[in-house]
Amino acid sequence: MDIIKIIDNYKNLSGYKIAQIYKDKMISYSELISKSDALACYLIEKFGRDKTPIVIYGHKEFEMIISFLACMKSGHPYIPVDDSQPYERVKSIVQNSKTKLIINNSKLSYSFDEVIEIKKEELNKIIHNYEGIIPDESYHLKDNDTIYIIYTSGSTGIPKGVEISLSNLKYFLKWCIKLYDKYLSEDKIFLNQISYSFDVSVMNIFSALILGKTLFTVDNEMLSNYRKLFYYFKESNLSTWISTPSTIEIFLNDENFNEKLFSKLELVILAGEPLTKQCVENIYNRFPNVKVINGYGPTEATILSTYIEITKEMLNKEESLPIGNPLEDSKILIKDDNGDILEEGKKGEICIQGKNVGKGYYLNETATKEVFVEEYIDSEKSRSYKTGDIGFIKNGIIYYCGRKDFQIKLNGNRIELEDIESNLKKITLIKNAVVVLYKVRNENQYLCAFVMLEDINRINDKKVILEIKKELKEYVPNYMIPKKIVLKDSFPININGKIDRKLLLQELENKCKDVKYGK
Amino acid sequence: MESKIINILENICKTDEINADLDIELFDYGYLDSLDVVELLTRIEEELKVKISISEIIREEISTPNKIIEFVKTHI
Repeated sequence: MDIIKIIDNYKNLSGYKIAQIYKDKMISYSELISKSDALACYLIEKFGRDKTPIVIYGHKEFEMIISFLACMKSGHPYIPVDDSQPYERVKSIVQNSKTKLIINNSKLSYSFDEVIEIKKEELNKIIHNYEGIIPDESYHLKDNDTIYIIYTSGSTGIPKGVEISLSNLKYFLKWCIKLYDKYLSEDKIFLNQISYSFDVSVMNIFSALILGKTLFTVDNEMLSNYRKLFYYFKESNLSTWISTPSTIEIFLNDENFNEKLFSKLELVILAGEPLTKQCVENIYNRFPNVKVINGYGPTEATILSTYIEITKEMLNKEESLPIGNPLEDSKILIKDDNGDILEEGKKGEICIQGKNVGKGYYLNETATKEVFVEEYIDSEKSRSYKTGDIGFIKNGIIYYCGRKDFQIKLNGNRIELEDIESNLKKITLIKNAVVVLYKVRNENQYLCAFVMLEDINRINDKKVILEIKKELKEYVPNYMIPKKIVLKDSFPININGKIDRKLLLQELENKCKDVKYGK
Repeated sequence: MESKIINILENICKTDEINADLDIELFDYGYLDSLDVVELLTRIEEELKVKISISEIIREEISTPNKIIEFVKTHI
């Protein structure tokens, strides 16, 4: 499978083939392809055989996907960075990746020392100047080359770049095509809502493009104006919905989100966080004819590592919903702390093995060696990735049940709690900080930070909390700002001499109870 | 009604500091996210008997406690 050639072929088809719809605009395959060709030629002229990754910053602009394809055609890995990431975060990605070029589709300026910044207007001038020129195939990405690097939250406070090769993606897309063959009819329109900083978006983009189908784009601004969005949805003819469970749950709350709105919807793919039976039940009630797929997978093992169709029978069973079975030719092993494989039914760490396991963390050998390992299975060398997720196998099907460490998922966003702590500690007001995720049944989970101030006299000053939030906002995206901040004069210490997180959580729980019962 | 709304907000935002500033941008400072909006509408319906559905919402119109109060008033 040659991804670039397959997509390029749609240029020659007769008729106007739409690649992407965004608001009241659309871009055809021929426009997408010729623009990416033009940009690729510029990149080749500028960098030659130098394969340094390129940062593509922005949101859902057409120029984003044009740039991704241009990078593939000129042999550069692309680093997609959503504009929800603040300046300081982009800065650490730029520094970590040693990029030489940032294509900036946002309105803000992102200039860094010795890094070329191309803004949207300039980008379109370049595309215009190189119009009609086709890049030499010898520059195209090769199988072992990195196609993209996606930065995720890192426990040190600096994001980690997960490196995925072209062959990793090919393996995944072969599975995608089979899945869509099974579930979808000829007309395929895919929802393109997930942020490009999150790897499930790669699934939408490339499965639509290699099938020559259409991406129906929803951006963050639309998500803050549901009234308009519902009108927009009505015209969509959407066949495949892909999002996190949290996103679809918001819509399910409105009774107008039903079969009438999406009369052609056939498939709902949900991934990025645990899926509840209630959510699937609601979907089946509103859309009696759709199928729901639950997907699971860390960025490190290329988008999804397991999947399963959630049947109505599963909803009646006692256990929570499974994450399913591994993709063809890949394996999931449940291991104990010594790395020994556990028997069925026992809980342990989920380890992924196969062609979907990525290259590692970009320019970070130490972190890579901790979780990416080479193993011999049936005397064949194979790479495996230790996810840090806890799970078990029952009747051959895999179930997820939590984390080994302080990584959490909040509304589909992957966050290391220590990442927030490290960034809180950058704030001069703050002496020490601990962040916990607070969950109560039937209530939305939220982040709570316990903070010790440098100036103990300000402990009763409520303005401090807003000051902290304001400064933290400069370092982390909004979804990482703790909802609740509790000021403390000291932290409880456990037997091991560490801050006692459990006790802090307990304290929070008691506080919340007091509020509920009006004490 | 105002105090009821503030009460609901304090409950959802898990804090009482919003009472100090009713013009605080709730989405910008991590007090509210999209899932909380659903919760907010449910509570408003339960406690104030005002039914507002998600598809009537424009985030800009409910981004501060004061705006939420105004918004609910126009839906009575």
